[in-house]
Amino acid sequence: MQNEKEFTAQESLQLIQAMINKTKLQVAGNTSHFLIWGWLAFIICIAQYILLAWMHNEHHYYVWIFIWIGVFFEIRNAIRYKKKVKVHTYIGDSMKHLWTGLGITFSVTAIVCVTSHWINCLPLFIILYAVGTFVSGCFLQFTPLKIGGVLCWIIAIIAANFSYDLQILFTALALLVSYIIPGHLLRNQYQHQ
Amino acid sequence: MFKELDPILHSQLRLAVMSLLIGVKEAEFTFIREKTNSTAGNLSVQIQKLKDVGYVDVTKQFKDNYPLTTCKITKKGINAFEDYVKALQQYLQVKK
Repeated sequence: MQNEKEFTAQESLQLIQAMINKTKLQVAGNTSHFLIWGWLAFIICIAQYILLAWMHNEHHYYVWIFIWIGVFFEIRNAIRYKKKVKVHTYIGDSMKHLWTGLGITFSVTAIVCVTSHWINCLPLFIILYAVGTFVSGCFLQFTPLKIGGVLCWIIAIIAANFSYDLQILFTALALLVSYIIPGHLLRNQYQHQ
Repeated sequence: MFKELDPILHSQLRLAVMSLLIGVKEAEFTFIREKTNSTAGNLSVQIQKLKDVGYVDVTKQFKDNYPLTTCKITKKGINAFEDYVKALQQYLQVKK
């Protein structure tokens, strides 16, 4: 880029817009966690449903031990991302704080649910998905995430009226609409730019 | 009466740097160089000019034994950028 080249007011505005667009996607920070957590929890939900509803296995909930795979990938990605990141954004930092807070809330909710025999706990998790994805969608100005969040709130209300085994399927559906589909759309948008 | 365009900002590379920094918290020198397609030498000179007028803060440190330069827009820089955009808009409105 030349420095002292004469340029018009119109060109100035175009340059400003072009540069702002270049940083637009950087604000998202590391977005791969939507796909990691989305797919992992989705597969676990389906596996748990099969164990519970089809195989009548009383230890169906043990499949959730595989959620630690997500924790491992998240820590590995965070270390890699920290090494390669060249720009810090306010939105990226806000996203990090939001998901750290929600991660702790997921864990605390799980502990509380163990003591309350998991009655209506899955709709509570779906509500937490809604908060995370809706607020992230607002930060990133990415409509599919916002829609995913709103759908999760609706799914949570419906799921509360069904039995535990069906609530597992509702949880999988919530993950599909709030994490997996918006996560892939976000990745596609990133790759195209 | 037109507001005169800030001569520090009315330069292609300096304006590009400021436009990048306005949307982020801080950015590494290499990131700015990649996005502006500029040479390291030219970019250093222009960032120094922005630093001299107080529009950006430059921090130099080491990361994994390599020098790391980080740039951040200052409050004065944000005000100057906003004034520059307002002046441009005013200019373009009258031209229409």
